[in-house]
Amino acid sequence: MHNNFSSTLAHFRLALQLSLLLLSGAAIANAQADLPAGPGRVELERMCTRCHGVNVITGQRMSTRLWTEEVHDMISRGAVGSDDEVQRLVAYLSTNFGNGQTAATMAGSSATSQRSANARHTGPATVLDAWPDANDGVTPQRLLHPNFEPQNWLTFAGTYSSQHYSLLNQITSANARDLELKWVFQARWLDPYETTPLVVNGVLYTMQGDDVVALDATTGRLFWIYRYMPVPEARLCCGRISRGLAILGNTLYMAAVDAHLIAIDAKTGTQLWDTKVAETTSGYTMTIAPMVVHDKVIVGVAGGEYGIRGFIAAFDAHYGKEAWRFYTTAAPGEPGGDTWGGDSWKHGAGSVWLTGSYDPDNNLLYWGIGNAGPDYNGDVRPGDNLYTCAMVALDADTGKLKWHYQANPHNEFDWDAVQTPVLASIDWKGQPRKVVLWADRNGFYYVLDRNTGEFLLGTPFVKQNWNAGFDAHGRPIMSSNAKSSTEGTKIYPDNQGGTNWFNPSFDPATGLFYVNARDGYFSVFVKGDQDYEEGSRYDGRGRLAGTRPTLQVGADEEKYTALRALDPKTGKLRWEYKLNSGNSLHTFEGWQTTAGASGILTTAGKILFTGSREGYFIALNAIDGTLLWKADLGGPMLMGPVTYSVGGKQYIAINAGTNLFVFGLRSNDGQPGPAAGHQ
Amino acid sequence: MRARTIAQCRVVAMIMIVAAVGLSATAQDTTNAIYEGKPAAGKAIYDAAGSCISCHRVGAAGAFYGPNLTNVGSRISPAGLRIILNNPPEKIRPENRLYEVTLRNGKKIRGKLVNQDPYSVQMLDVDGNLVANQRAQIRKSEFTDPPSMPSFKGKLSNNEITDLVAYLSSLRTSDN
Repeated sequence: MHNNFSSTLAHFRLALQLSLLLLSGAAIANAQADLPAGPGRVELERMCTRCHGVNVITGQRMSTRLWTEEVHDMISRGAVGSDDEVQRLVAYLSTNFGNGQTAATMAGSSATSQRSANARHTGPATVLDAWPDANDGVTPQRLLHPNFEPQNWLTFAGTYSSQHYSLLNQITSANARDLELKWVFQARWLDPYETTPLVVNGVLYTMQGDDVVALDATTGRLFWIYRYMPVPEARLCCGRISRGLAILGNTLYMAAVDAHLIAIDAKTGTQLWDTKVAETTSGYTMTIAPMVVHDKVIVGVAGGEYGIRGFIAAFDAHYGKEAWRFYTTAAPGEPGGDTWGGDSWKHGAGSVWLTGSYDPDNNLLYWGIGNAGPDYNGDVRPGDNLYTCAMVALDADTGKLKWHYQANPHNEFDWDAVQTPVLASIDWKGQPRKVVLWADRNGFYYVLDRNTGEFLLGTPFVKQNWNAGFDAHGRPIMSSNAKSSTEGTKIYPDNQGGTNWFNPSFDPATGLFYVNARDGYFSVFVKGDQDYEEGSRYDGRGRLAGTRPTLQVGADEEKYTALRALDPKTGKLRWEYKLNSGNSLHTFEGWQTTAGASGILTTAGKILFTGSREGYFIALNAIDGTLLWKADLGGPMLMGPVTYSVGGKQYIAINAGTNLFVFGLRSNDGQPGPAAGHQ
Repeated sequence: MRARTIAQCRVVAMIMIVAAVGLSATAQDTTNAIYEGKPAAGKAIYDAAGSCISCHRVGAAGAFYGPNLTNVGSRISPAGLRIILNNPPEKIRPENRLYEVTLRNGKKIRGKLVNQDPYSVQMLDVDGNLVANQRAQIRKSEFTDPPSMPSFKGKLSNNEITDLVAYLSSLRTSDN
């Protein structure tokens, strides 16, 4: 009885304290003392703290859109406010508790700051607390040692060195004639299909446009599909292209065309987070395949035709928070900032739309940077325009520039220098040397020292007329008339270049560097005046009298695209295999097909795979270029082949048209191949 | 004078009402009606006392028996989550049933059936592997039900369930 009475009394005291608390609001007032001042605070106190404490808010970091949804959700639960009050409240929340806010930017005591910092993990990002250590799935260690598991294709290029060379050797020059189609994945997609798949333990991850799919690598049957809807405002110069994925642990990363970085559970296809990398309505987009290094996901932005300021950025792989950013157009006060006239650096382009390479030994990233903007008229951007048309070497942990080599200062010919940096160790004048091998869109093959960026070699691999040599530091000496003009200037190679995004390959066994080259093409470059307008095309393209402002592209009668095998030490041609004559009257439609060919894959089977724009997928003897096998796939190939192995059987995968074709050796064990199946 | 008396009466009445609410609340639990769930505490319950992680997946961690909860906060309201925790549905949705195949070599594979056709079966097995098998290799296949979800009513306090609901409600795709 006594206990009951005490209990009742205690309850009454509690209730009384509660009522006093409600009446006085003292505790709430104390908590509110830490709220930043500004318009909307009054609304927060009136509308929100009637039902809950401020810590529910201060622990959150959300975008304006999510805050808007949150406030409207609260209104549906009884919060009351006029439209103006709601607007002020959302603005206040977005400003003080938005994505870009850290605890340090908030007003209030250090205790509040610490509380907020801790609370960030209990807000919407709570899901990420469930992340395991990166000791499951594809670990950073596995990414560092892909040659321990050649059955998988774990990164865009297969390895960080971007050699596009595989140790798999079941398919050889001796048995290539036994290749047969195993399965086809028909992507429901009409834009250029440039995605390079990943293969992890028998599962092939690829994309169909904006979607990600997980397929059984032996049959092509679907495990799951993740659908992504980019905002319709996304501006794309050259088609809705997604070049591929990266993986860490059991998470896939996709750079979406509307400049969002998306993390997806590789097991289930569930989206884990979505980080906006840049504002797509300003012209930013992403078509790159991300690269994972240690615990960071690295991407770059495209949109050079829309006057963006390009950058490479790294994001925390677990949380999607930006770790560092390297701008590809240097601002005043930064190294290279004096290479831009006026404020032209703000819209100087420098797109980053192909994946770079990484050297774990010196922890440097190597990345090719796109051309300066406006593309065809350099008058508004006097100077060298660093770091456009250059290769940059960045510290992978900080994004700090270690060195750069600019292939084309002040370029006016649209020669994005994004081509794959291939890392190799070669004999250089009697000494082993770690180098970068680089076949640039400008028609030159370069050899650079990997640690210092020292210019070792620059030599053309196709017809060119812009370069009259190099100075002692490797800076190109321009031919006298190599400038865009109002009357038009004929330049070799054309704006699509001596090569382009389709990857080269280095085969350490043959010691050859292979590149698909476009020879004999030229453009007549005409410059025109153009003012920058956010989100609008900004390429400086002019017109000749009586014509539209369209770039003239032509070619010599003997133009053609060829697989060329170069001596990496000299750039000299060892042999070539012509992929097309270049004079076909009826090629596949679409400007992309004029660009030549697919990427290249070499393997320890001393075999090389590549494809043509006419739709032929071919296997060559990597030593001498002899044709071993071919298949007509009926559509242009715009990405590099990959190879993998499941259950002891090697496969070769290649995109053609909008489909992914997978080949393997005709089964010699009396059993039909996986795709044939049997009932 | 009379007005002041009425005002005083109102204050007393309000205190009594609040007190009654407090009594009512405490009659059920040691806390009161405005207890705010703590997501961090809820996550601890999710991982430990609730053993939720042994059946469900959140983000890139957890098991594959039960429904994936990565975005459950976007799909189910806090009230709905509370109902499910207290009274789990008896009927298991088709997509959450377990599928078990026995291969001709005797190997058994259990997991979610994610896709199938007349010739092959694709599964996400309970170990998290995406596996495909030709039907020709399969001797037997059947649906089985996973262990049913327990009710946490009485096993967790109201506050703990509130914490758990707060955590689950916070599970939504992070928009950075």
